[in-house]
Formats: sequence, structure tokens, C-alpha cells
Amino acid sequence: MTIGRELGGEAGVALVTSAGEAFTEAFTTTMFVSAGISLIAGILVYLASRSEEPQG
Amino acid sequence: MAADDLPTRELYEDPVIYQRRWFLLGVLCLSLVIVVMSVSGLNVALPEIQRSLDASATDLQWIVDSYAIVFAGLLLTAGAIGDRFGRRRALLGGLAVFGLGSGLGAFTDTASGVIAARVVMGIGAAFVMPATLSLLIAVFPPQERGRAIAIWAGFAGAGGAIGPLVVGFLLTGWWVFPAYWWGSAFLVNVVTAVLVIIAVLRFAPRSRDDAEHPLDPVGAGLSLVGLAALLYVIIEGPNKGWLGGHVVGFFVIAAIALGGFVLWEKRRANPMLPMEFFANRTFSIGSGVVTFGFLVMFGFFFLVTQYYQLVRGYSPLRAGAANLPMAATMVMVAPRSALIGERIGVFKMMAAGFSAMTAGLLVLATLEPHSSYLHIVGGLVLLGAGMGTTAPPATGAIMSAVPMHKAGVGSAVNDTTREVGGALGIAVLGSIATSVYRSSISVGGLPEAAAAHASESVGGSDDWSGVGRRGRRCARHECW
Repeated sequence: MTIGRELGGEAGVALVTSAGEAFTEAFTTTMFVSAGISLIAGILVYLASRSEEPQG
Repeated sequence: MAADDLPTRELYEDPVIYQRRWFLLGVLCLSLVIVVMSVSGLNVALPEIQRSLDASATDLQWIVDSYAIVFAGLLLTAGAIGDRFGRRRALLGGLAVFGLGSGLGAFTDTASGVIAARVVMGIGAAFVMPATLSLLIAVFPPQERGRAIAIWAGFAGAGGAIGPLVVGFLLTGWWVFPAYWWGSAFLVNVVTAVLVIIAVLRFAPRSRDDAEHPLDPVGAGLSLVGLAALLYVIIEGPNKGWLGGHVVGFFVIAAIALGGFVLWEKRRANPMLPMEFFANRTFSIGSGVVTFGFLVMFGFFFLVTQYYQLVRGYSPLRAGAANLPMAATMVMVAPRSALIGERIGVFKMMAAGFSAMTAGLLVLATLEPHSSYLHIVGGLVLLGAGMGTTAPPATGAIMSAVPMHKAGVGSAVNDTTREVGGALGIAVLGSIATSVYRSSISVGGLPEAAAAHASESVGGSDDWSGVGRRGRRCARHECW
């Protein structure tokens, strides 16, 4: 939603710079968490695969 | 003999159907893609909807969520109805309802009208998605089924990336669509649905459960209430608070309905979803893999779109196009995963896929606001390769564990786990991102109202900055 163009200019750029850095940190942290989830899921499936018979 | 009666021989044994099978796969994948991209694609048009309809934040949330809740809630019931009354009928009916809802959405002039249209679209989509996979199972012989499922699964994953690109492109103004007209995001579905309906009527065979098992209205009602309430809890939890009375109330409803569903299905002679399926390791591991794979994928799509647009200053079209390397990799890798999976085993294939996804996510975890796009592409390709290696064998595992007469229900389980996993991914990973953002943003020296909005979300800081997309690019030293 457009609340208003309250700042503009250098103050506006400073705000988006700070927000951009904060969101990038949030994004990369979440990617680390996702990598952890994916790794654990992979390990669990690999352990399950040890009793699987290859079909080829 | 009723029109939709199953022929005595398997469908793929009919030479005409066998000859058409790859064309039919294309039609089924197109049906699948319009349903899947309606989840992700509309996000790109939300700012235009907000502006032209003066929609509130709650309206926007319901425009997105109403579709997901109705879609996921109805999947199991719709899959069972398809098995009982004909998968081709379910596909045609679903496409007609989906197209009707899209047409209503394109020309409504109120936010509540858009929400109602999305509900209608969700009902149609719930019939389309299971019908595509169960029809595919019927028209491909067993030796080619794995590859066909893999291609289907590749498009099911890639549809999430294709949606924002298509809608972003339409918003730039193309053909008869005016620029920035959000209705084009709906109208494109009408055109596609009509084309697919014609193709299905002309080429798709009839397929259904010939044993004519009775329907299970109590099971259908319990699964509908339980799944819809569960989706509602997952979607609303981060906004309303996980321990708030409203969310806890719906969680109790979900638990009672789903618990009741399991007990009811165990007692029935002809259950809609036989609980013995879950005792089959292949079925339950396949379901778990789909859940976790799409948990990660949907969470990624949700956050990376904001990263592109609000950090890197990409336009909606460029943000949609930025994910193309992942979608393309997924579609290219998926058919090969079926062949390799047959040699080394599907579980090992899925484990390898998760390893590639982990590597891709770790590459993306090293991004900075001004990282090169090539850096992003490295992560996207690994993530796409991982998903293209994980999802097809998982879907294949689920479908291989259910008998042919339950193909619609098996497909619906695959689709439901995908939707629940995806909603969990957006809720959980989105909550983590919000929490980290709020603890990292620096708002010192800002007016009180601006600081409050900027601290709330990256979109809030964008609204108050007054510098627009050019300012975001300037913040990355790209304009002066």
C-alpha cells in the first residue's frame, strides 16, 4: 500500500539502504535455515535408502 | 454403457491413445501450469489491485489465501470424485470452473469480488490438479510412466517460477491487454483454459475407477474442514500470533477434523483415502519428501521475490525473469532423474536432490545487496537441479504405491502434501525472515511514524522512503 512519500532524497535512499541490508541479512539467514532443513531431509532419506533395492 | 465407463483393456493399450500420449502430456502439463502459477503469479499484480480497487492489506491477504485454502482443502475430495465419476470429466469440469472464476476475477470492480472469484478458481483448481496426474498414469504404459511423471513434476515445480514471469510480462501491456491492468493476470487463464478444454475434449480418453466404490461424504467433509482449517492456521499464524485465541481455535478444529478423518477412514470398508497407504514406506517417504521439498521451495519463492523487487529494485517482469534459470534447470533435469532413479534407486536419487538443494541454498546464503546476478544464477541452477531431482522420484514413489483405481486420490495426496509444505514454508521461513529483519533494521533519526512502518517490513520502509525503484538501485550505487 502507498502510505505516503514522506522522506525522499538522501534520507529516503539511506532508509532503503538500511532496509535493503536488513532484508538481505534476513534472506541469507533464512537460506541457511532452509539449507539445514534440506540437509537433514537428505540425510533421513539417505538412511532410508540403505534398505532400498536398486531396480537396475 | 455409460459414457465414462472404463474400457476392459488398459488405456495405453489402445494404439490411438498410445500414439497421442506425449501430446496429451503437454495438454496435462499446460492445465497444471495455469493452476500452479495462479498461486505465485498473482503476487506480482497485487500492487495494481491495491491501487485500482483501493484494497486493504487484509483484502490483499485474502485474495492470495482464499485460493490456497479452498484449493488444498478440496484436493482429496476432488481426487476421489475424479476416480469415481471420471478423471476426464473432473479435468473438464475443473477447467470450466477455474476459467469461469478467472473471468469473474478479471472484470470485477471490488476487492470482495476478486476474493469470491479466487474461491471459485480454487474449487476448479482442486479438480484439475489430481486429474492431470491420474490421467497421465492411465495413458502411459508402466515402462514410460516414470519419465512422464518426472516431466509432470518438473512443470509442477517450474510453474511457481513461471507465474510471476507471465503476469509481470502481461502487466507491461501486451496484445489487447492494457499496461498495468491487473485483470490480465486473470484473463490469461480464461484463454488458456478454453484452449485446454478444446484439446481435452478432442484428445483425452475417459478414465475412472470401474469398481464404482461408493463416495464417502463424511470423509470428504472431515478432510475439507480439517485441511482448510490447517491451511488457515499455517497462513494466519505469523500475522495473528501462533498462540492467539483465533489461531488456536482453528488449530483445534483442524486437529479434531483430521483426527476424525483418520478414525472414520480406518473404519470404512471403502475409504476415500485408505490409511494403509501410509504404512507403505515408499508412499510415506515420498509424501514426506514432497512436503519438505516444497516447504523449502515456496519459502524461497516468497522471499526471493521481495529480495529482487525491494532490495535490488527489479521491476515485476525482471523479478519474474530472474528465476528463469531455476525453472529451466528444473524442467531439463526432471525427465533425466526418472531414468537415473530407476538405476540407483529412488531414495538415493531424492537424497542426491536434497544435497544439490542444500548446496544451492548455501550459495544463496552468501548473497549481499549488491552481489552480481551471476552469483544468484549459481544458486538458482543448483536449487533447480536439486528440486528437479527430488520432486519427480517422490511423486513417482507416491503414485507407484497406490492402485490404479485410486490414482486420483494418490495424486491428491501428492498435491496436498505439496500445498501444506508450501504454506508451512512461507509461514515458518517468512516468520524467521521478519524476525531477523526487525532486529537488523536501523531507523534512528526517522520520524516516529516512518520508523514504525520501516521496522514492520521491508515493504513499509519502501513506502516511506519516497525514492521508488530508482532509489533502491541508487542505494546499490547503480545510478550515480
